[in-house]
Amino acid sequence: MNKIGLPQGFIYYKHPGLWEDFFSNLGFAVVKSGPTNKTILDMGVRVTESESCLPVKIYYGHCLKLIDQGVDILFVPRYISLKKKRLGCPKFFAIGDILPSMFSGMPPVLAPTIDANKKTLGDSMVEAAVKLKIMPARARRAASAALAKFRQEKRLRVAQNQKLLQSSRIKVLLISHPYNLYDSFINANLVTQLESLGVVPIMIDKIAVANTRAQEYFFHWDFAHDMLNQIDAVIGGKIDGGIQLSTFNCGCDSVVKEFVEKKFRQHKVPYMPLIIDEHTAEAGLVTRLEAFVDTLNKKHSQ
Amino acid sequence: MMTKYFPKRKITFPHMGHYDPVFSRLAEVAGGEPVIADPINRETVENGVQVAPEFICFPCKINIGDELNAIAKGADTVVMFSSEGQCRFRYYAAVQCKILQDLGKKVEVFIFSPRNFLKKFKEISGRSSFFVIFRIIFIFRLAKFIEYIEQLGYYYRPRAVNKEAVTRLQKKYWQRAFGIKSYRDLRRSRRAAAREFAELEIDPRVRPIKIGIVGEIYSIIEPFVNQNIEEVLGNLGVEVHRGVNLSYFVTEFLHKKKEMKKVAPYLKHVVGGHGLNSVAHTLEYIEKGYDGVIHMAVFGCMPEVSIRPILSKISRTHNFPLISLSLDEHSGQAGIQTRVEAFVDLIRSKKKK
Repeated sequence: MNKIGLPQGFIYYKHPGLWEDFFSNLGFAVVKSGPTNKTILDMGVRVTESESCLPVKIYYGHCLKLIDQGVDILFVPRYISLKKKRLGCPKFFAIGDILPSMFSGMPPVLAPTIDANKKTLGDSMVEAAVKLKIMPARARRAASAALAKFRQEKRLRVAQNQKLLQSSRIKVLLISHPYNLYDSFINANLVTQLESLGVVPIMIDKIAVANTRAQEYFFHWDFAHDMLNQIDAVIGGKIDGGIQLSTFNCGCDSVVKEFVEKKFRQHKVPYMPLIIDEHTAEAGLVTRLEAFVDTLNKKHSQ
Repeated sequence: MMTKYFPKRKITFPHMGHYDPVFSRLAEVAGGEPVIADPINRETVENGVQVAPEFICFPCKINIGDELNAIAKGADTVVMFSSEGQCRFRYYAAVQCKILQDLGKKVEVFIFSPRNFLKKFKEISGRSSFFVIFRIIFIFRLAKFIEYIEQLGYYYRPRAVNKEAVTRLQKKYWQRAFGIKSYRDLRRSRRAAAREFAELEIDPRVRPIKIGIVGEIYSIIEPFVNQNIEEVLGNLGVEVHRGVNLSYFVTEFLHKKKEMKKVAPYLKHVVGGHGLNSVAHTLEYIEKGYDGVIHMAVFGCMPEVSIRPILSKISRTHNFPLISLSLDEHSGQAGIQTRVEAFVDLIRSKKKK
């Protein structure tokens, strides 16, 4: 039985859980690299381009860990787009090509292209499985089962989030990419920090968008488009503040931040951008969070 | 039509290399009066950095500085090009528009993109599409002329005895390009340039080494950003070649298929910006027997940073000298000069073996 390695960072958080369900449905042994830690970060930082963004550095660390563990296939999907007429961050595009050229003694890399402009996600999954010499019909069954489970879980999470939005406590919207929000190493335990300060953190990716309004500017990045719509869905009174978490040298965030900030300024909702890199210490973060929460408390009690 | 009843628009545009004559001619065709910002200097950069988003790439900061400078000089219309690509350049215009609004500047911003180019142009100028297309073809030729002067410099600078004379001649013809109004002028200037360069005194013993320049378009075209690297290299006795320029940028779609095929062993998907071109051109330079490649990008450029590991892989497998430079508002002349000199020395000693 072949061991498939899933680096648990960056791209993984686009569809957490989906791919491991899919591959275990097909009878592969799935090896995950586990949550990010200092060792993984250090391994990644050593081999990557110094100007890459933090999630990319960490991702290479995850890949290296899996290579050390001796997986037979490394799974690095190439996420082009998850929406029609949109594209993802260009840093996603080349990872599948760069990995084999970076290290010697690499296991084969499975890099299916996921591009909603050309194929549905299910079709891309089948295509990936066919490359592993799986019959298409069997792959199709496994894909639809995994997708159904993934969508069910997503619906559940959104419903839970809806409940959180009804809470009477102070609610802070966390604006970022899933790979920053759910990787507690990257965000230096931001979520638990906020909870311990008595604030309800609301994850942006769990917000359901009822009706998409035309944005002031057309964003071709799929995540940016979603992000602005999701902010629109909650900004009118449902949240008390927003924190935008971005990692150092994230090219997309440097642009999107301007437009997010403008929205918050228009609605007069407190907003704090946080930029994180591999040198961020938890103490520095806590101080700023406390100050921000104090501001919110003051505004709330008025 | 508009121009009859209204005062002429004062149109400005950000600098890009030596292409000022091209853009000012475009502004004239659009029925306006071009306002050219001061040549990029430290003050431009500082003004831009003050208001630009912190982590946006360097060219955007310079662009904003240019625009602010031109607005202070009386411009009332800003023209910015927005590509339909994958990298941040696509949003430059939007970000700049927002910043100018926030600063309370009363200017109209026109955002051109490949899709709306003709429509917008007609809107500003109030002329027919036939007229616009006709003039744009001429302007394309003008850009070609400017590139021709650059290329003459590439050839003559390493070989000329008096390097200053080459600089002087190049400046003269770039200046002359402002006044070229017809195809006849263009032909004459081209011939005159070829003649004058040919009259330069040449050292026949010089066997220049050849270096290709690849990378992000703005950083390799704009001498302020790359600390005039083409001149520095030429003075060191290096014949430079640069494949990416404005006319290449405009006609990029023609080369795309060929380049995709060329880079297929290393890269299977476009990465935005000029990432793919950089890889393709590097491979081309290796095939053509160049002695080295200099790869340049502004700090944090997403496509170029993505493909940098691929370039170093190519360099390793082909045993081919390649240096990658990151440029931003803090890079100084001395830093670039030292590294380039060391690189050239390395190539020379490699060649001797």
